[in-house]
Amino acid sequence: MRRLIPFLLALLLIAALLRIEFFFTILYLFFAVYLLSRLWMQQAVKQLRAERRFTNRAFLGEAVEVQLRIENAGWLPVPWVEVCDTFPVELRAPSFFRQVLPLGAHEQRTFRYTLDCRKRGYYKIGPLQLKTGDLLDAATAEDVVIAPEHLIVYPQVLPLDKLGLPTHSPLVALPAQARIFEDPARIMGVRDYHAGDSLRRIHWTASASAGRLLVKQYQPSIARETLICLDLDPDNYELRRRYTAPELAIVAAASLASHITERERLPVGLATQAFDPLADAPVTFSLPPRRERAHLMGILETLARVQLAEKQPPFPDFLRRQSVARAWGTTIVVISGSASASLFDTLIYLKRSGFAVALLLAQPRRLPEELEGMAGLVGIPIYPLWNPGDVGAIQ
Amino acid sequence: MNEPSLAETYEAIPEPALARVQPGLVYGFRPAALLTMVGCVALSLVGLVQVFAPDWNGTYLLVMLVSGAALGYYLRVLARQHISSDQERQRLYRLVLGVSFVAVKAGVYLSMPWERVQQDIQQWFAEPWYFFSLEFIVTFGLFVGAWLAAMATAADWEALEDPVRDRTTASPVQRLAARFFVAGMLLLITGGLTRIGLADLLNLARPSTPGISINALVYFLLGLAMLGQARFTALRTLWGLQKTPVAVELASRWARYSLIFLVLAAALAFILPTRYATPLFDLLLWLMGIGFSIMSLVLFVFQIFLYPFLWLLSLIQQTDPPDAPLLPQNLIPPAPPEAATPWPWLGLVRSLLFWGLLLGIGVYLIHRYLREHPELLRAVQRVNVVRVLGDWIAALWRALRGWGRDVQAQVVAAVQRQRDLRRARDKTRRRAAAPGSSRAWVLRHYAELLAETARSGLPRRDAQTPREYQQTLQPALPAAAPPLEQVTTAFIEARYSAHPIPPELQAQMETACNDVRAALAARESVDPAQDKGDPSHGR
Repeated sequence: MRRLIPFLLALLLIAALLRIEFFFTILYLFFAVYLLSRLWMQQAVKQLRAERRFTNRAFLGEAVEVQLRIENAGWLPVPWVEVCDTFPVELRAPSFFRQVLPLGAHEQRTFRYTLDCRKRGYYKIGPLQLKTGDLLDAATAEDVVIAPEHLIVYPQVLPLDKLGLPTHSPLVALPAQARIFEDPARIMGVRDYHAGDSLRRIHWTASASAGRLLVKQYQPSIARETLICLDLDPDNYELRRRYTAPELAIVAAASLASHITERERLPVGLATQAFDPLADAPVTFSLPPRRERAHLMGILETLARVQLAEKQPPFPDFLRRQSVARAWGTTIVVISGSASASLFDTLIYLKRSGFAVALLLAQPRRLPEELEGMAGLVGIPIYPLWNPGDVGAIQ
Repeated sequence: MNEPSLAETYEAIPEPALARVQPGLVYGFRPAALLTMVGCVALSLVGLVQVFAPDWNGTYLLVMLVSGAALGYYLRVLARQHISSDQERQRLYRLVLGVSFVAVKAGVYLSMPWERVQQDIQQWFAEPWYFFSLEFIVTFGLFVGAWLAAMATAADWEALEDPVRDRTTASPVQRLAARFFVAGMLLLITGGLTRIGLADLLNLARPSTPGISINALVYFLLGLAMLGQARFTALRTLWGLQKTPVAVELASRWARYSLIFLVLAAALAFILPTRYATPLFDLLLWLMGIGFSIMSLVLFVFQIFLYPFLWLLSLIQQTDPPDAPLLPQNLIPPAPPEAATPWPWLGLVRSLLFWGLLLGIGVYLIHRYLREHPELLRAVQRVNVVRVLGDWIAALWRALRGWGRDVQAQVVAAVQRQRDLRRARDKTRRRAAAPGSSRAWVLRHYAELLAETARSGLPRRDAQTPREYQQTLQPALPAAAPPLEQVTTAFIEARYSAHPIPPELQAQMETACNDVRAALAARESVDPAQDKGDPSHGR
């Protein structure tokens, strides 16, 4: 009732001029309607509570149930509340949940809806908007906004054989001929104790059985860490495969990280330059290799939200920068959409610097023979990711 | 507990369409309310006409207006449902209006005696324009007005239920509200003029008119109910268009809350004072009189203060002394205006309350209106006088708020001081009054010792501290210097410390007191004639 105030002012004037007592009662009636409506709405808005509950992490293909609890915490009833929760259309269509309900004194209602995690991503759920108003439209409708929350849908994790990748070298630690480092996790055998051997190396059980001191002999290794370097520069992917190929690369990275942590129980890290919807800007992710499961979840969360980022420094330069902080002998797995000459130069440089290097290519085309030959010569294995099975698996 | 599913709890509203709206609303409640409201306005109009022509029978006008509204409403609703062509509908409206033209003329004649009707009809042939008498023109005009208002109301209801077909820009609820307000103003003005008469309109000294206007009350309560229903319909249609599920119980709760809300508002309206025993101008004069009296009093006080100086000046200049200040004639405030109640002050208070309330409502409404129309506020603020006035009011408000804050701070500080004092006093009392404790024992014995020294002519002055008193006593009782020191130290510890007093102190105190008493006795035996009342003796 936009014209209520002018009407009231006119009514006030008429009542004051005519001096009819009942007209003042009419004036009071309308003023009470106006004032009570305003006070009612102010109070109702203060007493409205809303809560959204859901599991904020899910794997691809899972269904997440969202529970909305709307409550009127006060004694005054709320005549109507329009509840509107929004979410991305990738999770559910239509991309909103709406209900209209009245709420009595201290009444609460619970609603449920389900989100289908059909695509990896970092999704904003909300904001939840509660809109209410009075019975006569005398007061302005009020909104209560509950802050948005986020849902992470992890990328798909596939067994490596489904992606056509070997489950052994060079994606994991390699035994080396030169005994530079020993891996205490891999016992090769025992030998007699010699003066100068560390007490830590004594195999107490075997010594007790044999009746003499025996020390453990470890398998030599040059590195146990794996760093997955993911290329998310759109220029390195074919235009017509700008959606499928990067997704395949991300699935491969997630599967590889999961395999190394879960199966091999070895440290794995991730490095990529990507657009981060959380920061709403391109971000350089550099997760150093760790073996804990929580670290794997961190990698998967990062992979859940990364997107192609334009105008980034060239990927080969990024590879070189990332290799600086890594230990000598680290396995570097590069996942990209194309293998340019500059990338090969960098891979050869890394190889010669003492890193074990492997290249995973998310492209259907075969490499030029000379590049393949060069890779074979320097010992850089190349694994194509693009085959109908791989694409089908991620779809 | 199993919660009901959404399908059980909620209904999805289908696409809005007039055919799906409840028939009871379209054909029953809405037209009934509309016709009642038109009847209320018509009653008011008839009443006003009867002020000028008391013998005039206005029943037919009432019937005509209600009939016109009913015809307009139902014609619109039925035509929309059964005739799809706009042109056909317009043709039907014109036809019905033509028939109504004749029917209104017949209605006018029904209120006249048959002889006059005959004369009237005979005059048509001599003077065709005689057909269009003033009464007929006014009646037909009002009939058409009721017809159009009812049609517009029906159209607005249709637009509320089917906004897709509505081609107007304004909201149907706003149009309904505007029509309701305009007709309400017409009702109030005509009803008010009917009650006070035109002659008394400009008489500002006339008393207020009591009594309830039933038709106005019915009109406004029904109108508010209709507006509530219109609001609900508009929201429900909107939710339907958005395919938003709506709780089944929303309609019933809406009706219940509306009823309770209107009853509360009406109760509040009937509680508030409407009778102002003192007219506003009398009240203003009385308030001015009080202000004048206060000013006179201030001047009188000022004159009293100046009088001695003026008298001295008159001595210097050898003139007659000035007249002594006289109490101003108007110091006593004027008697309050006559009130209708047996207690004039009560009437005055009611008047003040009434006018304060009215002023508050006016100021609040203007404030809200300007807040809701910032462009108007900016335009008003551009006027110099308003800006200066606004600045002045803002400065006054700031000063008042600052003063209020100062007063509040001072009051809070004073209350806090009092509270601290009371707490300290309670603490002291608790400490001192703990019966049977060593502390109480020490304090009591010290007091007894003081009484004894006072009897011996060595009283302690009120302003003396225990240490000062000790130094006063020592010259008089040189042999008791160590026990005096012990007694004073024990007293200070018992009086001002917070820790528990050890029982050993009690024993030491007893011994020391006995020593002091012995010294006092020795002093009295050596000098029994000493003037015990001379306090300077002990110094």
